[in-house]
Amino acid sequence: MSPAYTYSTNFQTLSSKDKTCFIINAIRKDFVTNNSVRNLTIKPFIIFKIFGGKMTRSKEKPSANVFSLNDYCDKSVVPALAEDMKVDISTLRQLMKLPPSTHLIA
Amino acid sequence: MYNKGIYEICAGFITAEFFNLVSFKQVNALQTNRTIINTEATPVTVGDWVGDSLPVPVANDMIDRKMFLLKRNNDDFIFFCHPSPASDSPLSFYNEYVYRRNYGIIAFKSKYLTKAKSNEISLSQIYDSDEYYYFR
Repeated sequence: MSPAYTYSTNFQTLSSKDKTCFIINAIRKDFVTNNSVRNLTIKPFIIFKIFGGKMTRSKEKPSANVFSLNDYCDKSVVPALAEDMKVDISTLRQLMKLPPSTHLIA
Repeated sequence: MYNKGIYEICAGFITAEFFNLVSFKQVNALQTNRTIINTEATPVTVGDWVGDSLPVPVANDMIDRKMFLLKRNNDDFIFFCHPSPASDSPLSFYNEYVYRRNYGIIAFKSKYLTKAKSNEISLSQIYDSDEYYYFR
């Protein structure tokens, strides 16, 4: 399954404390739905603030204890969104056209 | 993150925040909640400032747990949100976010606020800290 989220990353190194922070925007661009009550278009997204962080790049797959951002977004944002929209998980799953096997934390 | 054949690994202290991008004309500034980034929101009138930098919007009701638009500069929108007094978290942050249209959050400012002994935050009881995290 293709990634549900697209990511944009800001690398921030300027601050009064000379600290480093990354801001990662995880925006689900393919998910736009309407709230039936107010007929609003809603697009959820998550930001990750990573303080004091550093980034490394590798062609090698990281060890299992490094969590995947995409997995985290898929498992966490759906229940949060369901709570915010006041709909149940199964309804939201239908709205998002997720297959029944998609793992959600409900 | 897996990006064009390369694994990008970020390490550090991580916080995650959830938002919903929604655009609609408000009846009033209170028609929002903690997660809404509304690019059609009306900039709120600031009636007072706490300390040197915490805006107090002119509103007739609860201002905590609400995301207000402070100002707009072309495609950049500055939103702010006061902390919730009912939060179970020992940490309470005033937050500002700069949202860039069609991109996401490009900057933020957080200010840690210590709670009064009653464990409630009222604007008259806020004790400023010097801890700013400001990136742009």
